[in-house]
Amino acid sequence: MAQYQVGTVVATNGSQTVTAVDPDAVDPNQGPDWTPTYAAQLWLAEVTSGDLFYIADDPVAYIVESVGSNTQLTLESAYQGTTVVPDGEPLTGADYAIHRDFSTNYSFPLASQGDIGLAVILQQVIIDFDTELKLLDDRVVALEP
Amino acid sequence: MIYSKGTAAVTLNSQTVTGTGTRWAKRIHAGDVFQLEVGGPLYLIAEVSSDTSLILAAEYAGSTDATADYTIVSDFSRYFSVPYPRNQDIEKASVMRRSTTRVDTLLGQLSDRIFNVEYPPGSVVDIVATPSVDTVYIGQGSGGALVTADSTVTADSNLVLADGFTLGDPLGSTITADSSTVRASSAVVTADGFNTP
Repeated sequence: MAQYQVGTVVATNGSQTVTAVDPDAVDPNQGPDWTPTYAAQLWLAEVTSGDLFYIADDPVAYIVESVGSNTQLTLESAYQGTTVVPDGEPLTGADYAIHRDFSTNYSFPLASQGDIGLAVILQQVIIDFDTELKLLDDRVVALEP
Repeated sequence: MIYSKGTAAVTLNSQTVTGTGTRWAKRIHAGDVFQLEVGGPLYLIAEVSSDTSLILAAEYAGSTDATADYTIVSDFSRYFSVPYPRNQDIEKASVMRRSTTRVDTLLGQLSDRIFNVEYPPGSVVDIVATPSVDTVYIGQGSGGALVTADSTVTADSNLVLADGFTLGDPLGSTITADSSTVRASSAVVTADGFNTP
């Protein structure tokens, strides 16, 4: 299953909440009456808990804890990267990817053509390999006389 | 991975290639591809004998050359044939995907062998891992008794059989106690059944 990359998002350093940016909204920096009217994202239908979320060019992937609405989701841990401030006309946040394709036994992320940030996927795969190898290693050490 | 350190001596109609200044033993393995010039014929490597000697799967058909530049390309890892993504791959992501899937399968098989060990009669079952072992067969292969997950493994590495636990019977055969004295730390199977410490 391909990554979900529709629209752009806002993420705040230290916060677990990710919010979609409505490209038709007025830049919030330009007026106090800005009201988002999100339309594009279909997170409720397309994203599930356990998927991987990351922002393009950010080196860390986060596990999606829950999907609150089509425009809001919660990560399992707080976003560590630079706070995204939407700007421009149309209003644009950060490009992002929600990775939804995982291997059968251990849920390793599986790369596909068109994925953004291949290195992030590779890093997550290696972290997962490392973790699973450690579990096996612990078990083998325990079995050794 | 591409390896081209040193030079290779090739001989017309011979399968043996001898290296000078090469370190093939740890870096090259059977199944890699040997080539003298880009665009030239490719030879599958049948065996790597040492740091300076390898055997091609087919006889070398070019001119004899004692100090030829060469290239060896590895597309798969040595032991489990995990594909390597390469920078010039057009579909790097697809190769990564195959690598990941391959490792996923291999880890699954390895895990099955480590976590679901079948103990033959007379084995001493020493369960010292974290309480993640939920299937221990006792007796003759997988037809033996099954200690089910309601038995627990304690922090001091003893298998504590649950009160009134049942002997599982996964394949419909029965366990005979005298052929299957199994000890999980100090829990012992006897003719009277399981004794807990």
